[in-house]
This record gives sequence, structure tokens and C-alpha cells, in this order.
Amino acid sequence: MKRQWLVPVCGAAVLAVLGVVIGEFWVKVATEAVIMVLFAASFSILYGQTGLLSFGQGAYFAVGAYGFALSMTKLDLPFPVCLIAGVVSATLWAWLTGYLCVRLAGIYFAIMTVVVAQSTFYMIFQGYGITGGDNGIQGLIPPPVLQNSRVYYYFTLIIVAGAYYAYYRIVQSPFGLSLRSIRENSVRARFVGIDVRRHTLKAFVLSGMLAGLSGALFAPFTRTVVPQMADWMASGKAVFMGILGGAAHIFGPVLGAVVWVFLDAVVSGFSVHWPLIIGLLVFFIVFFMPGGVMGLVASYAGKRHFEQEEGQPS
Amino acid sequence: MELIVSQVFSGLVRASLYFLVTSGLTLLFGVVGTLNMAHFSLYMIASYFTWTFHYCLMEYSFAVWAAFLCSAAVMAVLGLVIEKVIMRHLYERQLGDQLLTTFAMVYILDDLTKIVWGSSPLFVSRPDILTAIVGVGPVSFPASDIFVLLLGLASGIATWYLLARTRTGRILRAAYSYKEMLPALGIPIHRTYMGIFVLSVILASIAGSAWTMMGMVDLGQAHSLLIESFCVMVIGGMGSFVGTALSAVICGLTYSFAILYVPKIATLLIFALAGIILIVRPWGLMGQAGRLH
Repeated sequence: MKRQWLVPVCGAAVLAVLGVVIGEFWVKVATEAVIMVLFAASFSILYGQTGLLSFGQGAYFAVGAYGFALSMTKLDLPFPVCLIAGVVSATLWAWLTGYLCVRLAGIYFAIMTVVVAQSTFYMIFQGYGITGGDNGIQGLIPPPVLQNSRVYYYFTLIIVAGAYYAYYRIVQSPFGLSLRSIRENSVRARFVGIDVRRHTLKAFVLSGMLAGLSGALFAPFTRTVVPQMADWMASGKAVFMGILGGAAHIFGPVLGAVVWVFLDAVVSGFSVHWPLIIGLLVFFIVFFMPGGVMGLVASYAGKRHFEQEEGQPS
Repeated sequence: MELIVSQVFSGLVRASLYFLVTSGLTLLFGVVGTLNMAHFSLYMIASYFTWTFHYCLMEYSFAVWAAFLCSAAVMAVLGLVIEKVIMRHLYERQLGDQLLTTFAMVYILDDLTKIVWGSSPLFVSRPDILTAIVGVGPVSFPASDIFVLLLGLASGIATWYLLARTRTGRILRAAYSYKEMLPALGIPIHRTYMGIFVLSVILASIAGSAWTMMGMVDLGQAHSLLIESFCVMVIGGMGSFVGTALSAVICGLTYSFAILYVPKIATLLIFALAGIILIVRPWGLMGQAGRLH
């Protein structure tokens, strides 16, 4: 049991030290990577654990971000309350839309999530009285103590670490096991007595919560929110990150988010053809590395924890 | 009264566009079971090809038709290549892999389009016949809109004829009903799949060419139509050709009238329709009941 903690603890140590030693630009990149870990996790809990492919996580990310933004600009609430407001609004939105989505499966679920994401986008876009429409909302400045990018990095690191620990505990729990059994064979899960619809709704709401927290942390980081955070292409980021890291693996989201954000930063430094490169990378992963990076690592290490079961979600 | 007529007309034009773009996708899904998310990117590439061919042949009177045909030919070849290299390996894979791969294709194709044609919108200098305005009584209709409407009708009738009256069509319909029977009957299944993919790409090409003739080609056009097309497909029944035609008309008219009375939520209305259908009758209006492919 101790060995499995080696990698994450080392990783955490590296991340902790990183904030001090690396340059300003890379601290910002690292902060974005850390925030995106939760976004990737929100996808993974649905796809990797429950077998539901969702192209709509951007909706909850955006609601979290806008919840934060509106609390700060329209209601003048203090910073921590704004963060909580963002998470709560995303969770509510996930609960409402999830109630409709979990009644479907497979491709219909995927399409419904796309519809939800685009609907969210349009609602934000059209509501320019409240949301600023296409202009988004600017000027989301964190309190003075957090305005230093290194301090903000450690701030997000702590929050994300806490949230991820909760994610870890949830995945390892009997609830997580139920989700995986739903992924493997939802009919059989029902026979065994698992209430599939309630479990998937809970997973959906949890994923919305994670995406919302990610969005709420992202808003003061970029100081701006825009409606495009909600559309399905933005949701595709979460999909790619989750798959890249290894959808079913417990630390898949971490690796996926970190690799994605750093790759984006590096590639964008010398080429504008980031979409081309990432598309080819995903091709490569789907055909040659279906378990993502963590799948590859795990198979080399020879370990086979139950959460690494690469049963293809159906 | 004139308002109603012109709204119905623009609704039908929009329906024609929806139908042109969506019919290929729905046919592919019905026969093969794969949802090709890159279909809209292919439609966009076809638009760009049409622009290029039209630009080269502008002096000739047959420029428009030649552009259509050349673009369809090029896209058919592209479709063949994509089928052989990528799609073929997806038929046996899980839904997740299919959607991911086609989604990755969206990224790749979009970027390639940007590399070849640049990021600025391209304008088409249309022949006079397409820029004319046709007046019927108090209402006037733009000729390019009539063109799109006729194209949609022609494409629909041609495809219907292909499906209903030819042997190839019978094979495709058989594949939709029970694809495992095809090899049992001695019909080469891979060639059938290749054929339907190329057909879907050609339909996308016609849609793209039609769009080009409306005046402008740009990188965003795929995305603006994409979600509404998904909705059209879902409402009609995924895989159902007739369903797509029906739902295209419904969505086109809904949008056209909604824009008039409740413009802010016009697109949302279509999403809501799709959402309702997904909850109440997920296999769509004309899909086979209980069939979730």
C-alpha cells in the first residue's frame, strides 16, 4: 500500500518546490495545469469511472467561472465566498441538467451533453444584460495577498490537492466501485441491486462540482470569463486531458492535465499549429496507447491495482 | 401575409441547408453506427475547395457547376483516403474511441484548412444569376436562396432514389436493418462501408458547395451549423434519412419564426426540442422504436 504513494508524493514535492525555483511564466503555466487537473478529473469520473463520455464539462466549468465572476462584480462578495458561489452554482446546474442527461446512455448521452454545453454557451452569450454576452466579464482581481502569481500558485495547489484527495477517496470507496461496475455492465449492476440512475446522477453532480471549482479558480487566474468557456470545443479539452492521462487511472487526470498544459505552452512557443499536433497526439493515443500515459506507465511497472482496470467503457 | 410567406421561405431554405449537411451524417450513422464528428469539417473543406475551383474557372459560364463537380470529386477521393486510413479501424471499436478519433480529426482538419487557405474569410464573386432577386408579387426571394432550396430538394430526391430504387440502396438499407446479414449474403461489407462513407462525404460536399454559393467561406462555418445539425439528426432519428428531412423542415421553420418573435432564444428553442426528444423518445421521430444502435 505504501509503494503506490511514492509517485504522487514525489510529484507533490516536485510541484511544491517548482513554485519557488522556476520563472514567472512557467509558474503561470504550472498554475493553469494544476487548475486543469480538476477539469480533467471531472471528465474522468464520468468516463473513466462510470463509462459515460461527456462532451459537456465545459458548461459546468463556465458556470463555475461565471458564478465567481458575477458574485464578485455584481454582488461584491468577498473572494472566498465568490469561489464557493461558483462551485455551488455549477453543482446546481449539474444537478438540473444531470437529471435529464443520466436517463440516456452511450451516444445519446454524449449528444445530450453537447446540447447542454451549447445551450449553456448560448444562454451566457445571449444574456448580455447580466453576463456581458460576447464580451465576457473582466476585472476579476483576487485580493492583494493572492495577486502574486507564485502565491496564487500555492493557493490553487492547496485547494486542488484537497479536492483531488476527496476525488481519490471517492473513487476508492464502495461508491466508486459501484460506478466501475456500472461502467462494465450497467444491466448487471442493476441486477446486483445498484440504483444505476441515482449513482450516475451523483457522479454527474460530482463531476459538475469539480469542473465548477476548476472554473472558479480559473476566473481570478485569467481575470476574465468568456462564454466560449462553455462550448463543446472547450469541453473537448477535458476529454483530451482525461484520455491523454489515462481515463480510468486514479492519477490519469493529473498527468493528462499537466502534460496537456505544458505541451500547449511549449508548442505554442514555436508553432501555431497546436490543434494539428494535439489531434495527431490523440490519434496516436487512441490507436496505440488506449490507456493513456498512466496506462503505459502502469503496464511497465507491472502493477495492476483495481482502479487501473482498463475495461473499455461501453 | 407577406411576412408569413417570406418566413416560411427562409425557414425552408434553412431546412434545405440543415438537410444537406445532416443527411450524410445520418446515413453514415444508420448504416455503420459511427458518428463522424468531423463531417462538418469536411463540409467546410468542401466549401473551400468549391471556392478555389470557382475562383479558377470564374471566366467560364459553367463555373458554378464545374466547381460543384470538381469539389465533389476531390472530396470523394479524400473520403476514400480517410475511410481507408482511419474509419476502417473504428468500426469495431467502442463508441468512446470513435467519437474521440473523429473529434481529433476535427482539430486536424480545421488546422489543415487554416494552413492551406489562411484564416481570413474568402468571398465568392457569384455569377449574376445567383445574385438576382426574384420578385413574386409583393414578396422577393434572393436567387441564391432559391438555389439552395432547389439543391436540397434535388439532393434529397436523388438520394431517396438511390436508396429506394437501386440495388446499392437496397444493400444500404439492409445494412441499416441488420448489418450482420450482409456478409452472410455474400455482400462485401467493407466495400459497402466505404461506399456509404464516400456517399456521406459527397453529400457534405454538395452542402459545402451550396454554402459557398451563398457568398462567403470562413473557418467558423462548420461550428455554427454543427450543433443545430446534431439537433436535427437527433429529432429526426439518428440513421433515418426521411426523419432527417422531416426534422430539417421542422427545425428550419421553428428557427425562422422564432427569430421573428423571440430572437434571443431562437437557437435555444431548437436545443430544447432536441433535449425533449432525447428524453421522451430518444430514437427520434422516425427512428426505429427502441433502437439505440
